[in-house]
Amino acid sequence: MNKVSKDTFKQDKYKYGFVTDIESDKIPKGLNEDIIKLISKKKDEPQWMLDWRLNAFKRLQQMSPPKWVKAKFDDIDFQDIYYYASPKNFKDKPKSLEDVDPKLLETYEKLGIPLKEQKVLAGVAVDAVFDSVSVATTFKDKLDEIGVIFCPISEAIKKHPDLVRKYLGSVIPVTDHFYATLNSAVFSDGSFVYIPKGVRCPMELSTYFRINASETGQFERTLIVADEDSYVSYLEGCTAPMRDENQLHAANVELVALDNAEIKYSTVQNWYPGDENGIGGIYNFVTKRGLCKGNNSKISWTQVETGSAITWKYPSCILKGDNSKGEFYSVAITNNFQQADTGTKMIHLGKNTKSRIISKGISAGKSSNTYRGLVNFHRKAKNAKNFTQCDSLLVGDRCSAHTIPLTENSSNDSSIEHEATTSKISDDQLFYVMQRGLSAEEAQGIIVNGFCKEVLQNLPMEFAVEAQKLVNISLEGSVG
Amino acid sequence: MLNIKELNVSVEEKQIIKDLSLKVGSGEVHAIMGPNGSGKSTIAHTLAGNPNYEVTSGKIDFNNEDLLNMDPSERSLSGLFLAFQYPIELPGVTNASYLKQIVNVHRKHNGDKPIEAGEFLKMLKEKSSKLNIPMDMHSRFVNAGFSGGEKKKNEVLQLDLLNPNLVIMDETDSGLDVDALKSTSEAVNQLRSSKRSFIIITHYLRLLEYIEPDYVHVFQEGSIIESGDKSLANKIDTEGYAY
Amino acid sequence: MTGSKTNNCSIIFSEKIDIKNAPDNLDIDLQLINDQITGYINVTKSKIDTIINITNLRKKHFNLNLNIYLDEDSFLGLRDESEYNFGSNIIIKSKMNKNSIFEYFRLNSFLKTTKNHFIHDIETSSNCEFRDFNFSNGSDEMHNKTSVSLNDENASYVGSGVMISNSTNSNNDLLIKHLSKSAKSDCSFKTVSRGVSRVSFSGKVFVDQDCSKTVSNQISKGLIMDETANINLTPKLDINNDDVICSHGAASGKPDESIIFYLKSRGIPHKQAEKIYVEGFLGEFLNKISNSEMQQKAMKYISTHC
Repeated sequence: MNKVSKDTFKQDKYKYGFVTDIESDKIPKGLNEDIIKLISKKKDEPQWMLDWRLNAFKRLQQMSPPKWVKAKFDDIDFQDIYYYASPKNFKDKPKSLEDVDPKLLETYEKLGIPLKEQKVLAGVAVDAVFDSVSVATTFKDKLDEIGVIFCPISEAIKKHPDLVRKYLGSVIPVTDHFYATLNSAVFSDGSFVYIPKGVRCPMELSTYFRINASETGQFERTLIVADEDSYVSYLEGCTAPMRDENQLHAANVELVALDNAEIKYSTVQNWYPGDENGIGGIYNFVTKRGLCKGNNSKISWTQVETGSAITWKYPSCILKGDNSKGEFYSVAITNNFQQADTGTKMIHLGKNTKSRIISKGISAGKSSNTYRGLVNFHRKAKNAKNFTQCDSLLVGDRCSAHTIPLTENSSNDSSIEHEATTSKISDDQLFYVMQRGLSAEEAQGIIVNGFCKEVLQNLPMEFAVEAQKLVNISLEGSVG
Repeated sequence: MLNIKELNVSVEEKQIIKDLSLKVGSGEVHAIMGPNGSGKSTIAHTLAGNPNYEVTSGKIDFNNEDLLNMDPSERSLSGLFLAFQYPIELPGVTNASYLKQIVNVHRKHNGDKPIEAGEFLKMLKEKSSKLNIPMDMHSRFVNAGFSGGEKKKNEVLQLDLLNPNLVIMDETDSGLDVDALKSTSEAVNQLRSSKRSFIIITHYLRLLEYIEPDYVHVFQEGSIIESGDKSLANKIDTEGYAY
Repeated sequence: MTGSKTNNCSIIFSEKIDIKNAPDNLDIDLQLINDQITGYINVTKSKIDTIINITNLRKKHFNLNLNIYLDEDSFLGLRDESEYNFGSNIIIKSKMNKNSIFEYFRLNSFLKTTKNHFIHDIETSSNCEFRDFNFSNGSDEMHNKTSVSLNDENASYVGSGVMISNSTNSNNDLLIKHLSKSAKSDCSFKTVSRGVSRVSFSGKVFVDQDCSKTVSNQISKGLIMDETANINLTPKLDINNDDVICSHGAASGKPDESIIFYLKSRGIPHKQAEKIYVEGFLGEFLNKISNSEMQQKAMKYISTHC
């Protein structure tokens, strides 16, 4: 199609790339025991939490960053990072929105996440995390009434220590791998959700992560526990300013679903991807894992990954309970010099467990997009079933797509099915849609959105539209 | 309206169209008939700007503008519509949302606001019923899994929605049974006006019995070898192309 | 290329090496020193197809290090239907000049307790066709590794592997490198795993940056018959060009009960119904074998071993 549309494109700048001019309170750079003690002290944590962190740090010193990932990047100097930053004079989380610095409210307003209750998105409760601290949580009272706990994890450590101690690290062991262990030692803030027995959470819960301070890593920690017969739908969004440095984001997310419980976790990841020459951008090294602990439980991951210079994450499900279900729906888009290595693991342990994986990778520019997956059926996983479909779409001849699915089947009473295709947008499709008057970019957008449809329709309504727009924006500049 | 002057077109370096000249005035209906493989579809795709068809020389004026300088979407926006012989499938894209989007780009081009959802639905119902298109076809993906007849009807529906002033129909009759041919032709006949011209490309006389042309051109080996009125079509029908 | 005439010859490995009926266009040099066979087979330009039947009658671990060269427009069929009862270690390097066809059949049975290693590297030129068919029953330790470089335009690879595993362990690696435009590859792997078995298949298709018009298909499927059997399938794609049509599929699981039930409802006893089903499953891609004699032999192999 190059003959048609070479000049039709103007690069739209990353819309969320602004910096909020707010003084930040950072602890010194570097990673050592004193820093960890300082983080713990800043958060006013109980001794058990500090001990937990120090234990993780001790183990971390015997570990090194994994090297197997396909992405290429320079070694990270872990001593050259600020592990904690908060807006200045931010001692305690404000009691009400009146006490929140107007600059912060303005920031979230600009990001399209209004925090003032009269303006908030109907049916969505938001926890806003700015660098290392949670600045506001909406709809708290309403959730309190039905016993749903939705608060920053730093608050949960103090107010609900029994729940946190019981489940923290129960899905991702402290020593799981380097970045997970690093997170366990230095995690700053994130969300804690507990849905009590028999409660169907009436609204979407959502956390909005924002990195603002420079040279700062964000190490969020999220823990969601759905007790028996409960349901929750949770969504996270993320953005960061445009900078020519690479910033590290190493989060741990743990989900636990007990008998008959269901957790739906959606991510719209739009961290700054770096510029068109590959300078700057977030390193997004995230560990996300869900445990279907109870019988008939279900965990469903949906992700739209458009940002970050490097994305490296595999939201996974451990299907331990009988009849439990795991799902993974993913759209990963890479453009310019972005590198994405993402996929899932479905570990089938229980009887009649089922999993479904739908992955759509789109690579444009000079980017590299990898699907890496594992489907493992344990010998005891009688009558387990998996279906995997992973499709790649290539835009331009300097990008690449890789598919690395592992299937390990030790259960004779089971079935694994895997299908994959790689292709480009056909010239015929582009010409057909352009003949109806759409520009080359619009035509590409409509075709790519069609390609992603199966995944995008799994997002909560409020975000599906946003995600569609994001898909189009992310591919701008890639036509022709 | 359309003036093709000494047009030469190649596909993959093979010359398909040789020194073709053709004038189409406002409101005229031209039929281009020719045997299979004579390059009829090449005319259609060249006019619509398919990048796989390379114009090696010649000129095309469309409403006093240089058509060859425009990309396919600009040609569409300036009023040229091609009904494809083989409509393209767009998996994952629902027909209704696709139709709405193409209507809106044309409205935007004309300085109109995007169409209201209710108004669009009303229009879609009305225009679909003319073609006997059931509404549930619009919740399916564009052309994906459509029968040959459904695809062709969907093309004519788009023609109706976009209000073009030059319509090129590339073998629209192929793959249609008699009933579908009738209803499709009726819909096309209703769309005839003094401001809208048609180029109808076909292999058979069949379609021309329902849509009466003003001019008939016989196309063979890359150029027009004879032009005339409707009687020429009848002559071909009885005597074949090798008369 | 693929004339109507065929020259059949044979190589028999025993205490010595016997070469019978070698035609003029065949240049063979094989040496047996210290239980190790080393040498080459060159096929020069000829309008007549050359078929070599290989037979192993050695009563010892079989060690072969072989170079194969096919000249322009030549055709070589290599057929090995031997039993390997003492283990084997086979390393082959093949080079194909343009417009040549190489068809390699292995229909081997291995003694369960042996160790068997097989490595084959193939380099192709333009318009070459490499056809590779391997039927095996595995052994306690088995590694099969085939690596194909499609170096020039219009080279193609068609391959089919069948592993019938009864308490054996096998690793099967296939690497197909598309290094030039318009190359095609089509590969299938089928396995049935019984007893305490472990069958791994890893198939990687690599498409280099400038390889437009690539078409590649890969399918791997496994049947797990017993609780102690294990199948790992890893079909990898590494694509660096957008003008490609590549697909792969992998599936493993138990036999389809509804089919077995259907057969039983026609009066066929369970064991036989299962056998019919498994034979059909393993034989799905036999139509890729264009030579009807070899197709028959492959069918017979499946029927005897499963």
